[in-house]
Amino acid sequence: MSEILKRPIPLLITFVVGMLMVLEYFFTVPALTATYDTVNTWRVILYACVYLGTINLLLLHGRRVMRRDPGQWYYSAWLIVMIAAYAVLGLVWGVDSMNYRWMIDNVDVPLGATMYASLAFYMASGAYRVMKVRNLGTGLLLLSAFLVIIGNTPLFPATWEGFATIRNTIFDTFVVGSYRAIRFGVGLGGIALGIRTLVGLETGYMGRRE
Amino acid sequence: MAIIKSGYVLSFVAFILFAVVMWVYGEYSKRGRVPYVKRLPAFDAMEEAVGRAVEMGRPVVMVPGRGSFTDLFVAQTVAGLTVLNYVAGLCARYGVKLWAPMADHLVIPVARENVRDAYAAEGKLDELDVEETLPYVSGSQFAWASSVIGYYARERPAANIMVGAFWAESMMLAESAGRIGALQIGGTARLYQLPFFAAVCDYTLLGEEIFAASAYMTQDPIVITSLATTDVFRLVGWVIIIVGAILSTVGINVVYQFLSI
Amino acid sequence: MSLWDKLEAVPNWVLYILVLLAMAYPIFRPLGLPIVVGGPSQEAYKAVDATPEGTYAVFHIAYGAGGKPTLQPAAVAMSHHLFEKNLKVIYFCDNAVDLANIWGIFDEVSPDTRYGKEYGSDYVVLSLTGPFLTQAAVVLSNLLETIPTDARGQSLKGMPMFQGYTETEDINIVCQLTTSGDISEGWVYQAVSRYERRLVGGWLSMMTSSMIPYYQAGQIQGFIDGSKGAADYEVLTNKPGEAVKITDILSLTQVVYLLFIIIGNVGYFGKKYMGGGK
Repeated sequence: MSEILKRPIPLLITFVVGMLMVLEYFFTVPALTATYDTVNTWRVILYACVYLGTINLLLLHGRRVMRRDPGQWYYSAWLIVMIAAYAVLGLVWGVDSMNYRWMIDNVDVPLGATMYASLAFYMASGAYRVMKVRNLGTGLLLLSAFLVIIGNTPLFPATWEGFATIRNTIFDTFVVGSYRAIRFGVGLGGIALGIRTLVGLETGYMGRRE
Repeated sequence: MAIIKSGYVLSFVAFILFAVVMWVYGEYSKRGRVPYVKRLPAFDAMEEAVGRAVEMGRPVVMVPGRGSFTDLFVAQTVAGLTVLNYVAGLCARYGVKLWAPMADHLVIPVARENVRDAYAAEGKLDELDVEETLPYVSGSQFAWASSVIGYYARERPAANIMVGAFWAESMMLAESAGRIGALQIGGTARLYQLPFFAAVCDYTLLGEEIFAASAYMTQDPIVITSLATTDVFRLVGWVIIIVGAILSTVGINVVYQFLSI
Repeated sequence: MSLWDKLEAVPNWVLYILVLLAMAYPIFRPLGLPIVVGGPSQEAYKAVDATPEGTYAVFHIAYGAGGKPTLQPAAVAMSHHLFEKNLKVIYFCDNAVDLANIWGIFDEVSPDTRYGKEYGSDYVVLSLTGPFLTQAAVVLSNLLETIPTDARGQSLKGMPMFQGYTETEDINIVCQLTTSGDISEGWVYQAVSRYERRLVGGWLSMMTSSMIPYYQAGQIQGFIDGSKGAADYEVLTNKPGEAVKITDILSLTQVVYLLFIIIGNVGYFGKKYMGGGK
């Protein structure tokens, strides 16, 4: 029985549900649409698994605190304190409460915004390190990057509209054209992967490989 | 009442044809006529990356992305897990420490099962501490990114392999790992992040190349046929685009109308 | 170490200090640089402007904490516009951070005092129910049956704004602001392909090149392109705010990036052709 549970049953479930989704996309049969809507609503249940991650975090970091891992255990302790704080605030006062909003506005938002802002610095050092004319390809990359940055900077198009026109031309021709080509390939690759998954050739999602 | 939705007839026919062509190639491959798959330097470099880690005595970081099984990027997540399985096997074989930070609770059990299988195949299951090797870091984007960047700074991995679905943190990870001198292999089908990988990583998998991971690593003829099928349809797409563009330019919209069926 | 070596290997901390100065200077001394409103922002404005009064607008907020500095100004400007047009606005999101962002929008827009709007009669915030893909389909097709309450736990069916509501047909326009590509593309599939609603988007600048095909195909009526697009919308609605202030910072910072690229290449070529030090 365990051999059936490990492979054939999951494959059958994948095939049935996958085909349901595919058929619903193409056909207007009301029963299919109703089943699709029901399955979509059931998907919300999967989010109960969010506790899996929280439990894993508590186990991992709890272990570090117990072992007093040098250089790490106090960060782990603080993480556990913050998990508890958010849980208590959310459960007792609700996620819509002023207290919870205060935590979001004064902890999450500044931290998230800081990390996002740090992208500017990563881009600066990345551009400096990488954007060098080593060959024809990198030269063209540099030229187009230069023209697009100039077109994107509000200062330059305000001085001469041609900068915006050049930037839009590069975008509308080369950039969008190459994105469409890659997107086309990604779509085909996705379909191939999907069909492989449906017929059981791709089993990476099951965590098992033949 | 039409059964097939309006505007979806051609898509449905194309989908069926795709499956048929894949089946035909599969039959050919069973008779020994396996389509040729070109070398992808990025996949070949994965063994080089693990070898580098062996020499330097430093860990390998393999990031299978931040996708889930319930979003639009499940295909990329599966591709990332395939690569994780492969890299885990290499790390087990050569005795290199692996670190694969998890960002989604649904992916954790699957990823851990993949890595357990890889280690078990090499007979090294007892050397695997799955909690330390595949820790759940955070579901929050930048909390996860901070943790990974912190790991780079502390452990200074010799190799950084990133294959899967990435968001804004891709640039942060690639640049941080680049600064510590790690060998970097990056691949994603998320077009917004491709330029960052292409610019910063030593080897890049562009878009659909990550979906070829399974075919490339297993060299399974049946799986390789799916790659050949995408090539056939790409050719068909070229012809339609070129013919359609020419005809539309002269005012004949027959191709556009055909595609709207 | 020769001059070329130094130019090619400027320490990161020097680069970061220059970027920081470029960002800080306009905060203390605004440059007041002119803003040229872009086409997509104008089209987004026109799309909202063309929406008949009294119809429903769905407004999806999905930029989290990281995208807030860029897209919250756009959300505020667009909210001003939606309330000025007397539309019934259904706000929703799928996490607590964006919920806080939505309340923050109301703090800045003050729909009650400025426009005489009433929560529950003219606008509402839906409760958190699940991931975007599920939520989007539900909001557009089966809202009152699947999402019974708002974010405060009040029944939606009992609210004045949903008296006579008949699901998808009443929703005239979908507005969305996000830093996530799957959400911006997902709305095209859901709102446009599936339910044939008009769609106006807003996202980070780096996402524009990937979303432009949808705009060129007419599936997206118009879009807000990062901070610049947000500044455009503020200008169009005549409510200059944070985004307009940010354009000065944008200009100066990007000029600094261009200088870094030039310096890096000067050092590279100087070292290559004039020789570097040991």
